[in-house]
Amino acid sequence: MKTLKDTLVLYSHYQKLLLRNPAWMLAALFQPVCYLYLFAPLLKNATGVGAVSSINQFTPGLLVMVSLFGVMFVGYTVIDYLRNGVIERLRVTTASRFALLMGMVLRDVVTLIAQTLIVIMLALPLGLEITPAGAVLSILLMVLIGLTVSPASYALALTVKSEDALGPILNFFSQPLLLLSGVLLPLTLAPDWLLRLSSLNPFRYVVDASRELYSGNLRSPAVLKGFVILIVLSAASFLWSLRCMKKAAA
Amino acid sequence: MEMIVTDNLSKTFKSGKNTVEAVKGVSLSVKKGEIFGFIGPNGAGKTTTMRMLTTLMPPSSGTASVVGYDLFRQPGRIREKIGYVSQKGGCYELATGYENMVLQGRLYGLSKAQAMENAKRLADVFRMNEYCFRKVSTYSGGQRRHIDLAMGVMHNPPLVFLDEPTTGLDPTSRANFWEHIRRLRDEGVTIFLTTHYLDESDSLCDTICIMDHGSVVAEGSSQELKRQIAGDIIEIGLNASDIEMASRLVSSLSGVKEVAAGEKTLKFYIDEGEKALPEILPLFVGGGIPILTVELRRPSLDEVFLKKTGYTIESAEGVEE
Repeated sequence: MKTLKDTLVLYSHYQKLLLRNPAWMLAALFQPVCYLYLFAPLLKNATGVGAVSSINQFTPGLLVMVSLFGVMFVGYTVIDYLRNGVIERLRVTTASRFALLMGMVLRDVVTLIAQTLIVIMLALPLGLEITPAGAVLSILLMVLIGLTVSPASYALALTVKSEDALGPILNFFSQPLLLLSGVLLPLTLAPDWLLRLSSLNPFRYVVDASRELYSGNLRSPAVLKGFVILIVLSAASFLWSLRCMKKAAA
Repeated sequence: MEMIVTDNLSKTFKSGKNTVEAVKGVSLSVKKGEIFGFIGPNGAGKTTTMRMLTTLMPPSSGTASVVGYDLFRQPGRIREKIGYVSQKGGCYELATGYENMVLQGRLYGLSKAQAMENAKRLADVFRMNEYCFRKVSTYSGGQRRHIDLAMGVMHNPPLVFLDEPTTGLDPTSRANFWEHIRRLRDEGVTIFLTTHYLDESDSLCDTICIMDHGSVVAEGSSQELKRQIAGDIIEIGLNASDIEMASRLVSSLSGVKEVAAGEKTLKFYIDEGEKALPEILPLFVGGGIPILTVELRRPSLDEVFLKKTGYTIESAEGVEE
């Protein structure tokens, strides 16, 4: 009970701090807007495979990319907190380690939900078609991505303890993770070896699931697969970050 | 009642193949309602000891109880009863001091109304009304230390840990900060603080514990520690030709320790110097030794520190930096 209350108290604190910085909000929307309006039109002639329109192919991938990149770098704030003694102070209060983490993760997830809604709304005038059930499932998928990536980013930050190390590590992983997931173009276009390489990337299945949702195949096995993979990953990610929070020291 | 009791508390770190003994078997007890000062140069193990006692870091061995709870088995209960102010403070820079205090109170289980009430009271007590509704990132060093201390006592803990609370403050701010710490003590709060300012521990602390290389080398009140050393210092200025005779005269007196003859001065330690001096001076006059100058000094903590560790705290700081 106290853990839940502490989580919400911390969450509303972090959310308040975030909303005070409007520049950040604009930056968070700039990337999806660029991709939707400056990149998506190129796809109209390039792909448009089968019955699914190019915008319905592109948006689900874009959403995964936005959520991955939106949340991947949240660890930076925690390095700042570590250095200023915030984490240490919090660890001496009676709030549980779970609440200390979940307060931050919840803010990241709520931000992701807002971003997802905005991207869907921006894509509608471009011809995006989505059923309400599909939209809800799509948002759920984004929430799970947030629950996977955000704790991992905090765990990594608490482990390496410096921006100089965190940046290169995140960039090292994010590029192949992104390109091997078929975010920008479906991997159906990929040569055999690339396809096999991508099958090692869990986010490929997440993108597959996302695309199925926007193709109207809500009951497709690919959707289930994507959700199951994310649930397992988010649990692992959370356990990892809890361990790091228990030992966190500047 | 004892607020903190430790027995042989130790912490060993492994870095690569090396093991570093940061704290080597510290045994101490802190009484309720006192200001307990942990002094020593950087790297002596003060902060590590404090981090163990505040549940931030598990000890490698030994036993300890804090506010009556076992450090190993009941860290959660200890957290309810202690306040901790680290060297860095740890406020959210982009939130106001007031917001920081209210959030802190709520994390200790206070209701929103209670937390707001406590924050307002502390803003009054620490005279922070002028700035507590501004972002912490705009605060001066002194203002920061005030908000940090207020954060540490938001939930009215009976025991508060302060890690180097006045480092970097100017003399006026330090004196002002000491007043707040003394007032907390007068309200019944037990204070455990670390410092590397000897004057700070001398004027502020009821009990002083000197730590060096991971071990406690002396513990007691400022008076007791100074007395342990050698009593008071008397330095008498004489004609060079009289030094030898005076030295023999002084050495024969009871209670005199460590007579050191200089070129034109004779220095020695004696208990209760203010009573001994009127008895000693007539002996010189009777012996026909003219006295040029007389100086009676109380030993300072610097001398205690030098005696216990073999070096001055300033020289140790110099080596560290």
